[in-house]
Amino acid sequence: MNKTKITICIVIFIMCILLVSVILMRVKAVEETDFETESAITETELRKEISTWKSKYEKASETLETTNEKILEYEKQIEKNEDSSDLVEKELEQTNVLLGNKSVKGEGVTVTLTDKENAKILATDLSEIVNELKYAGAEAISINGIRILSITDVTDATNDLLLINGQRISSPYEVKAIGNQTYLYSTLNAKNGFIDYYTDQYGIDIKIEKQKNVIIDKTEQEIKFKYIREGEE
Amino acid sequence: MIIIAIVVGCILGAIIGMYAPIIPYTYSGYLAIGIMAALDTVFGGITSIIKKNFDMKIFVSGFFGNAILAIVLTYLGEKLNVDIYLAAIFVFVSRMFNNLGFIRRYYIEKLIEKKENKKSKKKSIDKV
Repeated sequence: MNKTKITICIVIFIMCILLVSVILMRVKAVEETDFETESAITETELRKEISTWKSKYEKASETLETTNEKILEYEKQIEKNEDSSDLVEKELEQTNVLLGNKSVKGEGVTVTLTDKENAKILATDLSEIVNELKYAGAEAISINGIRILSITDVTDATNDLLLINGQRISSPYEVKAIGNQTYLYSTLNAKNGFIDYYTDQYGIDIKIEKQKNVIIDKTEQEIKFKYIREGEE
Repeated sequence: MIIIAIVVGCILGAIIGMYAPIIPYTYSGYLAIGIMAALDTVFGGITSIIKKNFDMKIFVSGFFGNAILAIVLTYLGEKLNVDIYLAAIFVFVSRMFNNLGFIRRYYIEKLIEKKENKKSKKKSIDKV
């Protein structure tokens, strides 16, 4: 057996392998495909359908995108609204607290002033203590359970009586204030301060007490404006 | 020797083909054209053996070259939207029929010759 014959044999062997394997692969591929459904529609029709479906798909995805964007915007707006309404609510609460429309509690002091035979307490005295307390940073003040607001008046009345907002009160006067305990206490107790001065000068009996939980009721006064209007800023 | 190579090659090819991964139908179209080209070359080779002008180099180059060329042409035709594969199949199949016809005629003639030889031998025997 010469060399050429061997090479011929090898080449033919390889070619046979290739040819038969490729034929079998093709046969398998043909068997795998379902011709009944495919042959029913021609290729051009299929292509047309594909293009139409593609365009439809694109349109649908576009609309989906736009709607999604809209939804996002709406959600943002809703969030904003929620934020602003939260803020408004907080503000409302704060103003309500400031206006005395709500009962409040917190640390503070209770000052009790009692009349003596020869030393009556006047409205000015009470005004002074209120001012002192405000100066010391009191956030809420009440006298004998009547909330002191920016519009509250304290006036003298006859027969050892005082009027606060037209309500009669008499000795002993219990002044409650919510604020920094030490500030309030030290401001009133300072040398030549309110307590020092009044006890020395007038002999009024003044007791001051630090309290951890001072409760001040809401005002019963109705705030109504008749003459003021909002000014231009 | 060559027959053994062909038989073993076919069996091995069958085994490989059975376990080869399934290729998608659209790509297997190229394979089909390649198969036609290869078969055409095989039959051409057999014809050339009968004609006694068989050249191994031409046979091998034709086997692979025709297959690759047919696949490339089919691909090109698909890109240009021209059904070139139809022309390729037409050429290959017509040549295969030509070659098969030639092979068939050759062997039939051989058979007839054999029979006539037998008859003539018998006649000669009878005469004797």
